[in-house]
Amino acid sequence: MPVTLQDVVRQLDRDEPDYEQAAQLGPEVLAHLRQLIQGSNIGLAAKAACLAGTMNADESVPLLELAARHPDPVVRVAAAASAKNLTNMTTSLATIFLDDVDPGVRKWGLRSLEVTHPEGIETKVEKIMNDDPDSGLREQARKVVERMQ
Amino acid sequence: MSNRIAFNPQDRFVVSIGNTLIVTTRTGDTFGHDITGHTADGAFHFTGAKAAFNTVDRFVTTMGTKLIVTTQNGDVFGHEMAGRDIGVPFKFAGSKAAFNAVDRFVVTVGNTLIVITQNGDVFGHDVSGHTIGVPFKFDGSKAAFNAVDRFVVTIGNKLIVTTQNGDVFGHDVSGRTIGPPFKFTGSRMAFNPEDRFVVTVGNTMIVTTQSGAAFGADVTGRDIGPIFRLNPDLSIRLHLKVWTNPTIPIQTMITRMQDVYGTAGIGVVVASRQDLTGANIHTALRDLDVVPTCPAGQLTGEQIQLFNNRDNVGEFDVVAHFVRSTSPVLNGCASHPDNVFGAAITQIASVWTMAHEIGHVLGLRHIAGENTNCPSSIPNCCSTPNFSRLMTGCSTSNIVGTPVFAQSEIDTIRSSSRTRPS
Repeated sequence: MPVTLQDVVRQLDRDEPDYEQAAQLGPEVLAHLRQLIQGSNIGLAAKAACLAGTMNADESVPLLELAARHPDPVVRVAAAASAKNLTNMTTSLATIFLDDVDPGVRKWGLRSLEVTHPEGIETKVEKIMNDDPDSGLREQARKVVERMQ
Repeated sequence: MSNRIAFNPQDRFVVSIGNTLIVTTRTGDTFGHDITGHTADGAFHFTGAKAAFNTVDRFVTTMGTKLIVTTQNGDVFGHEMAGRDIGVPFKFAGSKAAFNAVDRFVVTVGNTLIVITQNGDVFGHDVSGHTIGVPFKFDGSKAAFNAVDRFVVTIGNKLIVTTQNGDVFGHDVSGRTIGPPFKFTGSRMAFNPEDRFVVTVGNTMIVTTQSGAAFGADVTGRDIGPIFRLNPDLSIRLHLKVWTNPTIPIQTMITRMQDVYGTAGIGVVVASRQDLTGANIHTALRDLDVVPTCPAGQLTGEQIQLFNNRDNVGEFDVVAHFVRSTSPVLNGCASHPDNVFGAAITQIASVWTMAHEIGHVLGLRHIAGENTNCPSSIPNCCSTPNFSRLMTGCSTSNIVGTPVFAQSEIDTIRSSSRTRPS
């Protein structure tokens, strides 16, 4: 049976979604996630971004890029945090996270780099290490730089 | 003072003015309880005149800010109530009222004093200032003439009759006509033998018992909402730590939590509120790393760090941390350290999420029966959700009205070490 938008919403609209279980709905989910990320419900948009990263599919990166440009930081934080599940994290996606004005997005962008770091991102991380107004993020970036070296 | 209501044998009449429930005694001393939302405050003693203490005083009702006392011979007296003070008594001019032996209930609708007799005839007197108008008989239906009819109250233009078995009937009053009877849907009211007085405050119907426990239900149209305990015997001391303001106002979440926990006889008391939105430390905690699905007792370093911000949180208290988001994205997460009970609530929380997460903290699990015939790969598919229950595992966002607890859930949360005598 095809996976419907309602099937996806039923998984994500709960208070404590189980993303591993939701991912079992399969790749048909991804088209619905795009619709949710672009929708007006911020909670569902953030949860859709979270599921997109959890699924770690080829289509996950463009979905996270979409979420990373969302006007609401809650959605952007969700995208950055779920990017840690990606095995094909791109430099452009990581750059979006690290350039974000919101410290929560930068925090989770750095956290995702603790798992995998695309080429060419070191400069961005060093810039946070040296210049970020948030001392916690500077320290977090320092650890990422150490790990990269 | 105690928040038990009208439990003394000498308590004689219970009425209301505005949001204050008024208890008159045989000695004429009069006490009040302010009702805020679904909670009754402790009793206060009215200053000023004594009221309704004569043996011939037969019915007491209210109209605007007037306390009205009718006597066995039909004389009608009044007191102007001002705040917590009772004005000197005055005698109404005009007609006598409610002096026939068959007169059974006296209530008011607007400026009309309504007298209902044992055979269901309904008479009225328009009241103007300190004058009782001549009696008239209402057209239309008879009301409250059955032997099982026990209490009569009013809300707006509705006459509300409760019966011994808890069924509640109504009549719309339009001008000088009593509408046909209808039966309210929803909760049954005032059917326990120990129920002593019934009164209304706003749209809430309140039943007081001989022990002083008081229960309420909101009346919406022709429906009686879930019954809640107005003066809980147990309470949760809740500390709010606000890292980010959620989309739903925190006060709204608290009110909803009080609504649903009130049905279990548990009050929710906000013990402290700490604003951390401007704090320039721990900014990382606003977007909190949590263990996926929030298993009990399993915490990330950030969760431990969050709950280390205890400040005023006592040993038996509960804390709600309002963070912006969690990773993975949740409405809330009830995992907490062994020595600090509480939950994280996120910006996208529903109006019921805090009550739901605190339910987990108090030992409740998601309800059973919502995942019928689910595929093995998606065992919790929410094929048969129950959105009338707070502990639904299928989204509190879809709850309509005030959700309920099962008796087993009530037993669990009332026996929690976090619920303490009020």
